[in-house]
Amino acid sequence: MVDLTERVSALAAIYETGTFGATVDGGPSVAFSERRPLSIVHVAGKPDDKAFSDGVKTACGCDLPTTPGDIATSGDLSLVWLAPERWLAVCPNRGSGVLEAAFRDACGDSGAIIDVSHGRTVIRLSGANARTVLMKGAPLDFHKKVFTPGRAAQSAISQCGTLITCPAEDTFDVYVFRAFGQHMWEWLTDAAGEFGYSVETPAT
Amino acid sequence: MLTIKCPWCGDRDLTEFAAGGEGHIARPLEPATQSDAEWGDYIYTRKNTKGIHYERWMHAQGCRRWFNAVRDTVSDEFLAFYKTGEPAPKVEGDGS
Amino acid sequence: MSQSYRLESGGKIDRAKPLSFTFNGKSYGGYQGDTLASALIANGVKLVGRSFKYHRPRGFLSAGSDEPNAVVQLEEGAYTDPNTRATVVELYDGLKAASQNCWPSVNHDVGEINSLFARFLPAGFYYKTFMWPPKLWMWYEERIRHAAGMGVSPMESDPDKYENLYTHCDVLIAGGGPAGLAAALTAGRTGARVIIADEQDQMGGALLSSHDEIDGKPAMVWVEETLAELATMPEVRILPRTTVTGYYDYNWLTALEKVTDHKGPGNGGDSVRQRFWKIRAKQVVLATGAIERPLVFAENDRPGIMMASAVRTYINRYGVLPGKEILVFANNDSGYLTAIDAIKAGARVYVADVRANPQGDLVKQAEALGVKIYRNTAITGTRGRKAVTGAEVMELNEDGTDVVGSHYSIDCDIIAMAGGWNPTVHLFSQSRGKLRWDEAATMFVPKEGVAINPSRSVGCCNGTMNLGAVLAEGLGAGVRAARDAGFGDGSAPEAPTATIVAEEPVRAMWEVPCHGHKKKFHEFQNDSTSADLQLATREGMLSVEHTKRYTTTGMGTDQGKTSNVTGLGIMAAAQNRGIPAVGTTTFRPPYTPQAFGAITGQNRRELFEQNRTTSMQPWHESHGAVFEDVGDWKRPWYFPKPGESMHDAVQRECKATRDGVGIMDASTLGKIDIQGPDSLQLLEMLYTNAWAKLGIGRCRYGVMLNEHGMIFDDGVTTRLGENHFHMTTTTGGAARVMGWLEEWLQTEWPDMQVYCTSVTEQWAVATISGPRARALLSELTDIDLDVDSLPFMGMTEGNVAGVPARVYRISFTGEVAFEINVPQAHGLHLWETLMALGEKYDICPYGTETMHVLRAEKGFIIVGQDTDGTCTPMDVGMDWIVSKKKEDFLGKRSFSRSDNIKGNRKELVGLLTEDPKIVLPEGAHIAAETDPKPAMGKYTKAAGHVTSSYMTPNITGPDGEGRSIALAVLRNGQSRHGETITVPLMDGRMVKALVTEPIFFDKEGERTRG
Repeated sequence: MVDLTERVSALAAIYETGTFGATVDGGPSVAFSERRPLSIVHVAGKPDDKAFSDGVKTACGCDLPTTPGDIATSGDLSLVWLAPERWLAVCPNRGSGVLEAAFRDACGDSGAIIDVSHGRTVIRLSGANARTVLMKGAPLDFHKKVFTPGRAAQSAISQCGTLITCPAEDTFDVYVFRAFGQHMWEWLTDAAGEFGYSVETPAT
Repeated sequence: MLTIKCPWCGDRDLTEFAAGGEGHIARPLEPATQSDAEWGDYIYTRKNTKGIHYERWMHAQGCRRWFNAVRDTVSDEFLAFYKTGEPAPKVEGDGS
Repeated sequence: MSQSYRLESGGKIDRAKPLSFTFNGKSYGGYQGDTLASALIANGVKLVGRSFKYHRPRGFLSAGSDEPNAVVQLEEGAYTDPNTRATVVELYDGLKAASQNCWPSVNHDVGEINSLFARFLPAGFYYKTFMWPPKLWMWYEERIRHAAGMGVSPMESDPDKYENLYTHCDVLIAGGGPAGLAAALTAGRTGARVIIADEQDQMGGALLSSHDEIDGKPAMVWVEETLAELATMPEVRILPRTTVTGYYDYNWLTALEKVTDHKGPGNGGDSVRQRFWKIRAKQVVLATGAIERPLVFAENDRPGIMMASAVRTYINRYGVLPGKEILVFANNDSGYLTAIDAIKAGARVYVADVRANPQGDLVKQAEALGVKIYRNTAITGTRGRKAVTGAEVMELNEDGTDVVGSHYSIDCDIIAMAGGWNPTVHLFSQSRGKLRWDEAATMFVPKEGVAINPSRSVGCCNGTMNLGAVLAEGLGAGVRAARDAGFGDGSAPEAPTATIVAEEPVRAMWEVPCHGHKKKFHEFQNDSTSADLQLATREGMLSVEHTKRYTTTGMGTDQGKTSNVTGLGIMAAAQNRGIPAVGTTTFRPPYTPQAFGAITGQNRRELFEQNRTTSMQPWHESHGAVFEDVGDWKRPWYFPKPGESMHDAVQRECKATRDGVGIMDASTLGKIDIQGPDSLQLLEMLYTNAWAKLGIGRCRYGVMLNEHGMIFDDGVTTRLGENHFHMTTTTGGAARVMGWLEEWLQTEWPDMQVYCTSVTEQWAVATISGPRARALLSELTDIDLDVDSLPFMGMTEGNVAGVPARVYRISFTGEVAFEINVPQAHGLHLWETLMALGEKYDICPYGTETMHVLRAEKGFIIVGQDTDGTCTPMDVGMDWIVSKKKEDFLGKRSFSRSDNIKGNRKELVGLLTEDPKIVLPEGAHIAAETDPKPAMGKYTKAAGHVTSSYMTPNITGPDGEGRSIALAVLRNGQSRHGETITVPLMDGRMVKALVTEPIFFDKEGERTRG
């Protein structure tokens, strides 16, 4: 039997921890890591459908964020607003199908719950120049007072659709379709080259 | 490079959007009863307005919602943005 | 080499940091803070290049980015940069530059012979001479370009890095002179996000070259104080060496920052060389200054004839006195500033002023210092071959249209032209702003902008030339721009006092009269003269845009920064109308040239395009797959064994799959999860066939039509639950189909309760196909694969290779096939397990080419290859998939449109060539006539074309070996089976082929169902 927690990352072939890019006084100012393994579930439904909104709260412990770009959190789980009636629930891997089942059990026939855990690569950037790296690729406003912790936005970097979240000050998670993962990793690390960057061990 | 105000996500770059052409063209409820001319109008005929244009956009690299906008095709100025299903706002200079 | 033109003291150069450089192979010295131009002038170099058309000797005209003449080839090898303006190249140690547009050298240029034939090279010469015969134009053009060469492109890959950077701000200020700095100061004080960019290495603009005073102190003290205060503001970003190059809609501006150019090649360290900013600004302040105009007088292009303001810049900023005897030729007072600075620096100075009797403050100051002034006087000719040595002057008549009396001669080594000022309205015009002609000031000034591009023009670019007023405008604009962006109340502080000079009015004189036919250049880079403009007018070129192209005025690398307005003045006179009536040409971005490398930024080489790869990719790569691009995806095309050609590999893969088992990575197929109570209703509208009776766990093929009734995608959809479906699409059509579903659900059927989610990336798919597929799969799954338990077009869930999987019995090859879907992160494991266990079944990995062959054998269409957006299901022989019972589905109504029922449509057929070894080229046309012995060129009409064509080992020709097969669309093809058609090829061959039904293998489908 296969150990189902042993997922092969899209970055497996190129992931190497260490320090790269320019040698800069004060050391690298961007740190990269892949967030994995994660459980990621696409949640769709009408917020005014009580069975659905109650179910979501039961399943993940937080209310549906209804302001565009907001992120609700409960423990290690984040619920990210993607679009009207669309959210993404993200947490450290709870096991194959477990998070999906939790939502489905709680929501019953309301809404639609789809496991997309394997369909995303999530790259975390942090550090003083993390914003600048993202500014090289996406036309969003990354100003500290605008793109604040707890906010998310979708856009494109190097023509790949991305979801970018800001879980904490100077920390950003870039979600892309798994198949774009390697390209995005190479693009972002190339952008960070001038600052010097480190690659840390993957973590959730 | 237009700035487009997605009714949900706010001001974003044109590059995130897909243009959807003229708005408020409803699919006939009973296509079978349409004459060739009526059906042809629905699938082919567009106003191609010089001036105030009611049009559709989709926030393709964002929330992927369709919405409507009113744009002056001469100045490229957007005069209004509104959600799909909402009535078209009347704007100054609209000759239609 | 001594810098004999360098002043003893003064200038903003660092004399403690000497630098050496070479120009045309010769070594020179300069100082930190010099430009290449100032250093060359300090060394007495005047001849720097040759003009474009006549190859006339040319020197430095300006001291800035408006330079048309001193255009050089900078550096060598991979670092070489053509068409670089020496006036903006900051000097660094070891710099190498060379003249361009001359051969064999700038001093001895063979092309100068053009000058002797100048009377045969009028405006429009190229158009007139090389128009006939038309097909030779390409030949002519190559030779003309060679003769006119504008520098040499690097032949090696650019070793430097570039980047794009998006940013947002409240107030963007273009220009860091007094107006821009003042605006930055007041805008910054409000807390607004401010960016101020200037093309020079230091802020200060014109103040860097002047002796102006602000609040009784040298103006540069004010500049330093302002910069110091700005540095304390966290939201203010100061960008030196950054040119705002483009102004696009909704205040989206581009700026090019030259980050390390000034350090020289290879000295930039880890930094990017250039950064291309993409700035979205709520408000824009344009403080781009003004550019001085030359005067269009006889023989005004010799080296040593410069702009007066440039002479002043070289003296004051670089400590270089360009000449010992300087003749200032002016039509306004600003030339006297140069005269004053030059005489103070030790030159002998004369002024020829076209005005009848100038008596302003500056004139009097100059006269008091010993400047000899010739009033009401014009230069009517100049002397000197490679540098000016003197001028001939004459008195003007009353209205300035002619010269009178006798001429006399003035010896000089510099002529400084002060022809008035052109506000730099380029960015404002790019923003679609309208200009107004100020007749008194003889300048175009901003009139009104457009609502979508809120900007304010301040200072010289607004026609405000007096320093005190410039500062007041800047301070006011900064604070009001900030207010309009939501910061502060818009009240401006009082402006400091500044040097005020009472200036007398300019005297417009677009063409300075002389006797005889002498060339008067208004456009130096492209050698356009006043006579060219007048000829263009006589030949009927009235539109300014026509004249521009006919005479090439303003079409050089400088884009006519110095020449445009004087050109308009001459045109207006020739057309006997006013300058506003002539109008300006369109100002287009970029303001100054920018390298493609900077625009491209990071997106080069392996990062040029996004790559999309499946989880099985590592295996494909390590097993020698050759890839093809399908959309963004890299898909294995075929898997050659050592020594195999593509043909060999594909034939082997095709045979192995039919005979045993083949395996293919099908992860790229689009997959959409559809849930919700109205899912079925949605499918009924999207597809042509009926879905209501599809059982849970069953799959069905469907085609999607657009409202024109034409096929735009196809795929298999499976019912996972009562209200839950799994749709597959073509690889290339996945995004389009997802968009199609979203569009209908959001815009037409918002009441339908359906949720569509792309799960393409969630599932990895390995398809095994062939008579031994079942046996292989049975070894690694707990699923009952018996045909009764999992029949053709059935789906079941279970474990495969220890991974939870969905197994679909769908076949695109016509064999028994299983599409095994597992969560993507286990895809590689699945593939490797199948390969390992498959070894004993001689499993054969195959790519997209083999997939194409196998499906063509079965006559399965590929949307976009066999169809092209004009094919109905009936055209491709799929009448069976169109429900006759459904009242409506997308595209149905269009079936009965007149064009679709008139007959004679192109229909899908099979083709078998008479010679089984000929593989028809895809796209080849089928001749409409069937003449058995046609002459070449006889076929005038096509009856259709070949859409798919392959050699296959699975269908045998008369010799018992494999043969070619093809699919085609042919007029009335479905009723022409059995006919022989002709396909004329590019090489002249006429290939005969039999029309068949579009299926070549296992017509009954027994193998598929088995």
